Amino acid sequence: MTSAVLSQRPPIQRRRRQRSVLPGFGLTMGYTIFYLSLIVLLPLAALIVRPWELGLSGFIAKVTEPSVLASLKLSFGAALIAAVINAVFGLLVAWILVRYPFPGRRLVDALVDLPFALPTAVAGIALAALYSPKNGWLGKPLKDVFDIEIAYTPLGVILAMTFIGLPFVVRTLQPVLQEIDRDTEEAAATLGARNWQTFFFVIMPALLPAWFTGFALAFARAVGEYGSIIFIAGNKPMVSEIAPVKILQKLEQYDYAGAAAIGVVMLGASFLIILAINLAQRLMAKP
Amino acid sequence: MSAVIRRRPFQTGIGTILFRIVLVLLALAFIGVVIALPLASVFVEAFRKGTDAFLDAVTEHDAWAAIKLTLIVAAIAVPLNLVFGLAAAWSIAKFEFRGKSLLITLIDLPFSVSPVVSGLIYVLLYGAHGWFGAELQAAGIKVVFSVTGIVLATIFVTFPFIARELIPLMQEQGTTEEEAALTLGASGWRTFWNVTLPNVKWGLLYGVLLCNARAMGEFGAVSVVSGHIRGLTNTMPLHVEILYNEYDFVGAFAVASLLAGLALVTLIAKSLLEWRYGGELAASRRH
Amino acid sequence: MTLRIEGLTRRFGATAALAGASLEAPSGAFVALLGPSGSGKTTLLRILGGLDGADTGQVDFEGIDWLSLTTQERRAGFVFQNYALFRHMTVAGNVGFGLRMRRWRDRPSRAEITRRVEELLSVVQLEGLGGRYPSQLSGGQRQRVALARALAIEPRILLLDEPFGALDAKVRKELRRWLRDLHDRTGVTTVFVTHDQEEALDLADIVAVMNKGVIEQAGAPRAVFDNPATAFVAEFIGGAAKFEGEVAAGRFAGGGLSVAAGIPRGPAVAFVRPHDWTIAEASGLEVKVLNVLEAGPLTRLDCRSREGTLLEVVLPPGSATVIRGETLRLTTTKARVFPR
Repeated sequence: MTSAVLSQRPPIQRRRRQRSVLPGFGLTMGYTIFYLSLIVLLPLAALIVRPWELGLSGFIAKVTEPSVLASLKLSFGAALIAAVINAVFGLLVAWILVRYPFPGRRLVDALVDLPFALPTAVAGIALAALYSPKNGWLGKPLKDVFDIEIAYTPLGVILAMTFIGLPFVVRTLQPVLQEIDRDTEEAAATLGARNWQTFFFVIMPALLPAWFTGFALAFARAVGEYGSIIFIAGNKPMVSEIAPVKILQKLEQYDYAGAAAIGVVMLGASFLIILAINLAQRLMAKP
Repeated sequence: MSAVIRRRPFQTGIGTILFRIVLVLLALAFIGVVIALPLASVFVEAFRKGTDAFLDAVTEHDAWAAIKLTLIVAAIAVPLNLVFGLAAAWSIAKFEFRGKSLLITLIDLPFSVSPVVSGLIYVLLYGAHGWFGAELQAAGIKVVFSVTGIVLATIFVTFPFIARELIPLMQEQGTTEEEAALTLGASGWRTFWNVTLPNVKWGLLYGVLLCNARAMGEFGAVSVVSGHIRGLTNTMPLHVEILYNEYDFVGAFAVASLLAGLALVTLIAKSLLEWRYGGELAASRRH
Repeated sequence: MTLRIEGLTRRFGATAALAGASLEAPSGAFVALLGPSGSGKTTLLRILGGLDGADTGQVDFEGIDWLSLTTQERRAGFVFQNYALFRHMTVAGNVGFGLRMRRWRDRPSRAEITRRVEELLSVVQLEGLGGRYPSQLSGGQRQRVALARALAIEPRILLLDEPFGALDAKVRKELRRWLRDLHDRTGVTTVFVTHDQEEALDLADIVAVMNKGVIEQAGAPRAVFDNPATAFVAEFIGGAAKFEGEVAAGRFAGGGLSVAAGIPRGPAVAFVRPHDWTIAEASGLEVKVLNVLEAGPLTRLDCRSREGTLLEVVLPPGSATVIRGETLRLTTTKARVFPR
């Protein structure tokens, strides 16, 4: 009897209600999408749409203005060099932090995160003061002894970008290095591999995707970096003026489309980098 | 025979130890030049003219206004992103739906956008020549060159911090504890409050810590939308820039040292959390 | 009949986890859902517990349309496979959780909750461990905390998902007896999921054998063991060897085996359990002995027939000695033949 009553209930209703027992999906997902759209998607759409009011040729004209082109070249070129430096030294730092117990290791480990935590403007004035050729602790000896000027030259841009990018390489490599099985290294040794052979043929292949990811992250961060660079760079047009500075200049001249054009180029580069990182990560998932 | 067993496997010879020392010193030198020295120089420069000059600089009227504004901005931006982070993590980690990885990528997006571009997008939306500029002007609402714009830009750059810490954590914890709570008669809200939240509390704190550090220290994005109005729309990092450009180095470094102090406190708290509750933070430490 | 499950279906994408599962059990029964992994037994249990919804079908429990109740309303004590203890709460906190979650009208006083928790902890023999955290307990202790927590809400039905799955053999045996005693004392209708047939046959009043989302057979352990209703049950229970062949003129022939069969002619499959073989002199299934295991009073043989079927033979005490490599002839009177 009960079953006769029960079977009159349309099963569809029940299905919808009980698909997942945890409540709140509609509410939290709705809010997530709403907030994401408001804060991230709508503003980014405004950026992407803006430069096309000039048409394609206008867009190209904007980004190929000599001073804009020079600033883009500097931002990307210096970021590439800084990322390479970080790839080398980041690997070194990650390696000693994971493998070699030395006094103060914990302190160094914490210091690596400083560029994440230190406001960029603070880093910027500190680097500028430190490397000033006139009276900087390091800048003056470098000038006097080697005749190298770092502040107010492209070298300063590279230095600031190195500062800002270092933790990305170290922090992506560290967990992978920790996970690499000591057993496989010992196995390599029992098979007659020498230390350098073990490093290049056993450790490096396992490290490669993470290394690339760290490199790409450091590069992406450096391309867009502003605060820590402007003080040490000196912002000389055509020489040490980075793309974000150029965006600000355009804004000050109320050239919104021009500013947006540079912004779109930088955003496009970010997308390509994210894409490359995702590919690397997919490689990492597949052993 | 004795020659064979005299050396234990993987015993380190004197050459290896020297090699290690060289590697450690090289890494330490790099960290010192790029990270530690700039940090030290902030404090040295701040106190170059003595404690009184330092105190004068940080209690001066405009500096106070900047400190207050920075606190207000963080007090608005961090809670908003906290609510978003919880909502996003709940919907993404506890439910299955299509397009999940796309959503996670979108949430991460602000991290790969240049700070200057992050400010630019709000100018393009709400600035005098932006999408909604005319309407806002007619209604007498000012977003750009006002506190509202600063808050928006800060929310954007700190957008992913809490969500990306919580999502992997909640994903890893699964849904069985929540299911158990439901079978024991707990409502959805009480399940969240009594079971889910206590399980992620350290991860939440970790995310809030990083979010707050960035919110208080953001420079590039805020610089674009603030208009640098002294005593009104100047946050601490912007105030540092103004003082530095006016060659008031002691003042600039004094305010900067407060921010550096905040960064150090953040780093210490973060290290303590990682050391004490490492297992209860997001499984993979990515940045 | 107070638990009646009728035609439950549940699809996950393209796969049907439940394809019309039906079962009846009296109030207070101890029911085992037995089946290989992927047979839908956990899905069925989760639907009973309100942790998943059925696509179609109904469940009637003590006159209530069970599926129309919310998870909370069902008051089903659910013991999870990995216990799902709240890791940030003490043992006492875990056990008292359900009581604290009641609406304040029905919520016992703090002192009452403490008293009830102590009482339950003594029922599960964990007196004095109320202040520990789950991470400080052994697997068997966690299991009992999970049980106490489920019992605290005075469940109308107790649902256990592989309750002994994560425990080692000795603890498993102990807990099994203890759980049965507990059930006999409380009389709560209990449904548990297991893939271990020995466990199911040993513990349950009713064994429901599941395969591919349906319940193939349900009944008393003896009945299921002695009279498997389908080919799947015959193969799954009792470690039987399988022979494929034909039935003609009342006899099954296939894979070297020839036995009497009471089913119509046509393709068929026959199953013989290890205990049901006898060594014959002249005729019978010819097998080669691959291995001889003499552990305890029984002798176990691993054999392979000429046709390639691997089979296990258990000889009663006092049988003639068999050596490895020997060729034997086996006959049986207890083959179970099903149409294919």
